[in-house]
Amino acid sequence: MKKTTAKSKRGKYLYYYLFMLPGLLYLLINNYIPMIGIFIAFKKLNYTTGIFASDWVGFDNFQYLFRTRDAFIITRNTVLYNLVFIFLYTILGIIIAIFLSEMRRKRLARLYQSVLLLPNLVSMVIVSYLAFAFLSSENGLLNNAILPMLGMAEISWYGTPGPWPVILTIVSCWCYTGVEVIIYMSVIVGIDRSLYESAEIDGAGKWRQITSITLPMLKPTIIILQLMFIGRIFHSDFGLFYLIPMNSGMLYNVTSTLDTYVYTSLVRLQNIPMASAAGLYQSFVGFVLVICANLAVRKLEPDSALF
Amino acid sequence: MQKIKKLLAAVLSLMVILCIFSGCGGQPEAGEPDNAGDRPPAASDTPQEIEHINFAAFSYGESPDYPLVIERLNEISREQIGVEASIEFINAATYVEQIGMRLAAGDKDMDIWSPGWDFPGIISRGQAMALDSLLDEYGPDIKSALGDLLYFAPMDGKNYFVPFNSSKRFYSTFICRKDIADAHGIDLTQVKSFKDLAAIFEIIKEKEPQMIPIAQMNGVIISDYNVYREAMPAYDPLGGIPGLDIMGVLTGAEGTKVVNIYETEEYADLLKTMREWYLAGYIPKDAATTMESGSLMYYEGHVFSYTMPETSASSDGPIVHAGLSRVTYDTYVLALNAPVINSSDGYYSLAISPHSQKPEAAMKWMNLLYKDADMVNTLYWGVEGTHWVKNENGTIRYADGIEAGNTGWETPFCWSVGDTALSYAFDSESDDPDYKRKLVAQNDSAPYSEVFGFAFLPDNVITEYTAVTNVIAQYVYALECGTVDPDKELPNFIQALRNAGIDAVIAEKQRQLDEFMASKE
Repeated sequence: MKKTTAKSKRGKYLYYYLFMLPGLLYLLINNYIPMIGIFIAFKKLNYTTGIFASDWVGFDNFQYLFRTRDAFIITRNTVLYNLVFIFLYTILGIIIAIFLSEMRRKRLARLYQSVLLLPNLVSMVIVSYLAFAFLSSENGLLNNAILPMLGMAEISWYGTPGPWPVILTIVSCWCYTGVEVIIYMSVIVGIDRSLYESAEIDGAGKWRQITSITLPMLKPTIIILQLMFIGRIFHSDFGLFYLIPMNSGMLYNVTSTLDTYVYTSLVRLQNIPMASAAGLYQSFVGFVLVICANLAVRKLEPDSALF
Repeated sequence: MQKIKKLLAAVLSLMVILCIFSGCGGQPEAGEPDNAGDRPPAASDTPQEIEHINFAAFSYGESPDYPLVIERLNEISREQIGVEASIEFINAATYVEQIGMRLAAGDKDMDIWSPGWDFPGIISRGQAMALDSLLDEYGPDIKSALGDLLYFAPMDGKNYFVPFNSSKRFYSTFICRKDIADAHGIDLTQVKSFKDLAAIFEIIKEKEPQMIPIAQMNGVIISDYNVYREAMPAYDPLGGIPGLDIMGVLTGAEGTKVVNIYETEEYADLLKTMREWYLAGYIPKDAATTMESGSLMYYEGHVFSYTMPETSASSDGPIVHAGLSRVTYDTYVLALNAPVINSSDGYYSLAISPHSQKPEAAMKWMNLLYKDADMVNTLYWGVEGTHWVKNENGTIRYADGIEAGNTGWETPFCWSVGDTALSYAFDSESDDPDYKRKLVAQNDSAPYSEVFGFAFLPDNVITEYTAVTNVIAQYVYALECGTVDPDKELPNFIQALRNAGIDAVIAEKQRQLDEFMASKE
């Protein structure tokens, strides 16, 4: 009797494991096996002798990152942009999710949701040309219609660094807020309706319901999402920072991030070890940040910590 | 019922897994015509052993007639040297990366590949095999066809590449629409310096307001600093590629002293002129950022002119290029300087992979491309009779029903591989059957830069070099398209270059150049 239950249990889980297998294999092949290549960052690659037999050069490949002010500029840009993005995605995501969940006509709410999500599905290349349609000096909407209407002088957008932090932030929020909205909405939908009903009976208005029920219930989700963001704070959306400013050199001081820097300086020069060094630096600092953030969360909110 | 469900689940999950594996296992076949089928089973009918080599070439599209052409090529090479080749086409956009990966992985099946630039880097990374002894033994025709050109990028006294043999006399040229220039009475013979072009643009701007007077090419307006003929009589970028890593150059005014081009008066003057052109509206406002190439815009008809390094031009004045299938109008090509064969003209070459198992056979096959006219013409234009036919005067034309756009053999070989002197001229190019040979022969009369053969290896200063290329990418396009005010930005540029360590790069370049000059004597 006992034997059969154990067997059927194993049989039951076997299929779950089988279904998991492709995902695990994907992780293994795509994320873990390539980690072996980390050591390339410490080598001077020679193709004749092969990767393994090339000379070790210690930390030489990392030097160029810190050679100029570039390291400071790109680290600053990457971190600051990401902080602003994390903050805005979260605020906008929560606000819009609450608005949508309060809408009485669910069909319309679903339409808005889809419209908000749509930009996320559009390729950055296309987004960059949408931006170009606004910003182009020759035929752009801003220079040819809007600025003259307001009586302002033309601006050479791709040559003026000043407005770019704002432009990139707007584009980024336009592209990515939709995903946040969906995550927060799914949590809000799952909140027990009876909580709201009893709050209403107790005389709580909408605002009170939001601050006392919705937001506290969202807190674990917000924390987890922040943690995941912080883990990626050293990564930047390559398409956003490379394609939207059309890789314009004059904007590098405000648009260069680690990813675009590595690309522009190294892919053209075909220096794989240096590219790996930059990638390793990026991953290492990101890793440290996740550990620290998780430690902090464990102190404040033990239940919400990732591990 | 339960059992069937379980079975179904098991089968389904198995299928998912299988799908994933089959996705991983498949070899990318795109762009590579089936070349397993055209290898004969074994060399049973020929007495000697036939060797097979593999040539990984770059391409821009499909060549559906590959089986036909390779069969003809192998017929010739089998008979002459007992070697057969298969050609594998790799999309040009990812060629360098793919070759790099295969070399890193130690791919033994690839024998020949075709680098186009960064020769010192290729040698320093060990991506090519030293060819000297192979050339001596199996490459006599390569040596006699190329002469001094063969030694365009030696390192430590060894030679690693077999360059494409064609006219290497590069002019910096101004290319413009003949129909429009003629209609408004523009006389190109009056252009003595590139600055005189402003007067032409003025006319275009007034008479053809919908047209862009001059467009960017490779991100800049004047594609070559060599246009300063008087101030830089023997300009040589010393291996630098415009927009990437032109750092220290020779101007010719100071012998073999390496000079920072960006701090010269000529460069400041070039930027001033470009700024004037930009403010006058001759240059498109988006020139510094657009990714479109000027030549493409020119084909489309929106642009009056652009500049480009070009071999087919003349010091005597403007020449006319007839309209081709893509460009329907005739074109004036005006040389802006005297040509020189310098140390860094884009030499397409062939290299043998360091992992090749049959370097001798590969060298024999390469040698045939500098020896046998049938081989060269088949490689360039396809099979005689099928793709092209001979005219009575010795030139060739496309076979009936075939033109440049629809031939089944469209490859970059005619401008990147082998000896063009052996190839036939198309009747649209010239009536002279010897046209191609004469073009190549011009190399002998062209002046060689005194540092021809020098190749700069940035390994010792790679940190500074990488930092400087970043600064260059940041400033040159905006400055050289006139988008920003040079009075304000040029000093910033020069300072940023200094901070990035350009002086160290130039000092290293000078040291290597001095060594090179000493070894030459």
